[in-house]
Amino acid sequence: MDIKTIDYLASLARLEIDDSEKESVARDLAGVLAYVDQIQAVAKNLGNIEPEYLKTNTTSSDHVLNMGGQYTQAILNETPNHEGDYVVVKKVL
Amino acid sequence: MHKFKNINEVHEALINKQISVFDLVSEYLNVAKTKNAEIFAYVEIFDDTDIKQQVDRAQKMFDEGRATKLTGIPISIKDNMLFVGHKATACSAILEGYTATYDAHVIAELKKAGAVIIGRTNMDEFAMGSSTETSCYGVTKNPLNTDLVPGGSSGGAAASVAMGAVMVALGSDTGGSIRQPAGYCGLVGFKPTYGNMSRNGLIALASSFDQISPLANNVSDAKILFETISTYDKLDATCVPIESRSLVKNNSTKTIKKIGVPRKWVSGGGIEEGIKINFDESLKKLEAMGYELVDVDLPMSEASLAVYYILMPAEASSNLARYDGIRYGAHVDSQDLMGVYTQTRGQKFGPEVRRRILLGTYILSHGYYDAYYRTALKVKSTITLELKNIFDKVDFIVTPTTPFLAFEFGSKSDDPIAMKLADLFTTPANIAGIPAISIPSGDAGNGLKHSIQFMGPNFSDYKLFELAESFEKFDNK
Repeated sequence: MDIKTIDYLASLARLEIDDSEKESVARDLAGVLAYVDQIQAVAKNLGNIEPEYLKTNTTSSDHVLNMGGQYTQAILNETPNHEGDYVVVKKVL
Repeated sequence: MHKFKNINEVHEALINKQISVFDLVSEYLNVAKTKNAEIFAYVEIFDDTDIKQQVDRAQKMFDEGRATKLTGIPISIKDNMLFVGHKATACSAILEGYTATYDAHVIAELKKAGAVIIGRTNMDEFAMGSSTETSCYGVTKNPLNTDLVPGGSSGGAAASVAMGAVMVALGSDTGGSIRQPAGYCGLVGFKPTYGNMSRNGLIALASSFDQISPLANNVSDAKILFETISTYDKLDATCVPIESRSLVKNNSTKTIKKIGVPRKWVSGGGIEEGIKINFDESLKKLEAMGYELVDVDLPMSEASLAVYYILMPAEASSNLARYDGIRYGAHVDSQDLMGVYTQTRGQKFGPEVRRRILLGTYILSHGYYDAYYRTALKVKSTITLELKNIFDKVDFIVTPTTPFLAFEFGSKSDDPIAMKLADLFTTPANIAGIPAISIPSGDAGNGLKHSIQFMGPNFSDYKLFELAESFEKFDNK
């Protein structure tokens, strides 16, 4: 895995990676990928298996569990920046 | 200090007023405060007023005849469970200063039962690790041998029990994070069937594997804790309603007889000689107890660790997207919004977490999704099926808990795979969603204990307790 790929992944993951760390990150990722690649051989003769997650679904009834605003203040208190009932972020445009 | 064998004995003593809740909790709290400086099991021991309120509530339950088995019992919680009004950080700098705004389902159940929560325990950052070395607060030492790691990610939880600072602990198990530290610290660790525990209020690592799990000195205590908190919760869509947990507790219509032994796998490379010897001794004990041992082959399940290291980082990279410097915890200021995201995440996530997020991002990216993620899901389904078919022939499967014993600090941090191999035998249960229990199986020297693991089919949780309890009894004879 090259540094360019690390840069690309870091931008996708919204994660700043220090230049000094990139080489060791690339090496570690390549190491893990080399290990997990054993599943290719295992999967080779499996044919078409329906992934388990497609089989079941759970839905919950559509009813209100708590009062409006019940948690607003508690949640706002945990944000690094807020004003009134709003979370403050940097200008997007 | 009072010497009680287990929670049942303490409960009797509390009912008969031989001791008060205050006496009991004070004893454990003193140990916690004295030993924590060296062991560092706790990242926070709650303040005396807080604990006193819990003690008074518990005592009142006894006085009014409303006490449960867990009433007044001192317990610790891993730092990834929400306890309203208390800090919860998953031992990550990115959740610095965060205070829980609600109770996790399991915490609400503990409160109802009157358990006394004395502190939150150290863990690998976001439960990513097998040694508790990646915590942003520093390492926890193994109370059995302080030169060695306690295991992880629930290393603080295991240490809190092993150093005698609580009777039981709550941790979480995603790939072995309860069973492996239980093994390293000479304890019992139980990973329930996926869906038996509500994950509501548990800070997520990989949602399709995470299960909150008990750690205890003995099987009986682990079972009492499991019984108390494994109630149905509609707020977790993967929590299974009680009536659907097909095998009911203590269902003993059939005499348990057969235990599957994956001999080929266990005799393979990378497994310490002492562990193989102890495993053979354990098999002899099981035979002496009247079980029939059956050789089983698990070619698919042997790939569990590889499947795990694809699906877990994929889910983690998505779960950890919520830590953006906007909603909670740490915030690193920058010239624009993108800078806030990238710098907060880049500076506040630790090295191991950054690696797993990048790995998960790679696995889920266009071009690699099919080769890794989709393929891993296919193999996962095959592993689940393989184990299901084996459980038509045998009642349980036995393996060592880990391929190697507790190791020295830093000794497995350079090679990205070395540490992860600790989960070799524990990941199949997470991949297939089945329950598994690890229990001590003899002395290993250096103060350490050996440990074996039993796995059973879905919702055989209580049968696993039964088997483990009889093994424990036989072993202590």
